Amino acid sequence: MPSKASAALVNQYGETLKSVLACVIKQPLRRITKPYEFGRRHSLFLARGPAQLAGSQLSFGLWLSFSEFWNAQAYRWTIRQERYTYQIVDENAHELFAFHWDPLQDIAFPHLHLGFGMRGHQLPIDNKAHIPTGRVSVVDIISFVMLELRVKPLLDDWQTRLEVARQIFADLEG
Amino acid sequence: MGSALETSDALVIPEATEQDLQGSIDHAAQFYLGISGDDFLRRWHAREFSEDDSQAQHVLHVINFFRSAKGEAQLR
Repeated sequence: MPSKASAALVNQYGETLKSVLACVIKQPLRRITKPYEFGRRHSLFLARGPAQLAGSQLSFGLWLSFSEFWNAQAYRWTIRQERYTYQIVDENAHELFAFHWDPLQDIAFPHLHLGFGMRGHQLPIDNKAHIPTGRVSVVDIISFVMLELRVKPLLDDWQTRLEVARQIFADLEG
Repeated sequence: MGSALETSDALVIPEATEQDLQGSIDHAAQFYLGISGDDFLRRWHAREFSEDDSQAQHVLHVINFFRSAKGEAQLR
């Protein structure tokens, strides 16, 4: 049964996620929690997502689930990410990039959909094509948003936040 | 009182209320299609959206995320 120790891990995950998102977005997260045999599954999302990225025409949506469970081998509570969708949308509400991973869906591997961003490039695929990616973290996406899509960070310490978050997520899922 | 309830109350990310979920669905339907969440569901059940309507699929994705998070059957 989940304990205060496991709740502390969940809170560390939540605080870290909030810290990363705060680099580019002012929008609270909400949670749905469902218990299961070995722990609890938590699903997190932006309360009003997609939400506009500060100082940008782009919007961002995040929907992810992770579980807290008793890891009998390691003899400790562990966090495991279970699925995600990260979506970047243009000013006309058209999807530019969508990063998906849900092992329970027909397309079980992590993949990218290229939306309106591919228009005019004569690519031999459409926006439903599943481009393999490997697992993508929230930290990677927020880095991508700032460094490649040139969304201006809201916070001066964004680099530190991302570095710290990368380490915390690695530790929590280790 | 069970520890699961105590620890759930102590989590830093607030648990979504039904009002939160409805507000989020309304936001998504408005954002992608310019309609309310209720309108979306009515039109979805009436099969007014084609399977190629990616804007409708985005709204459906949000609804199904919530449904699966709660252990409910997904809309197809």
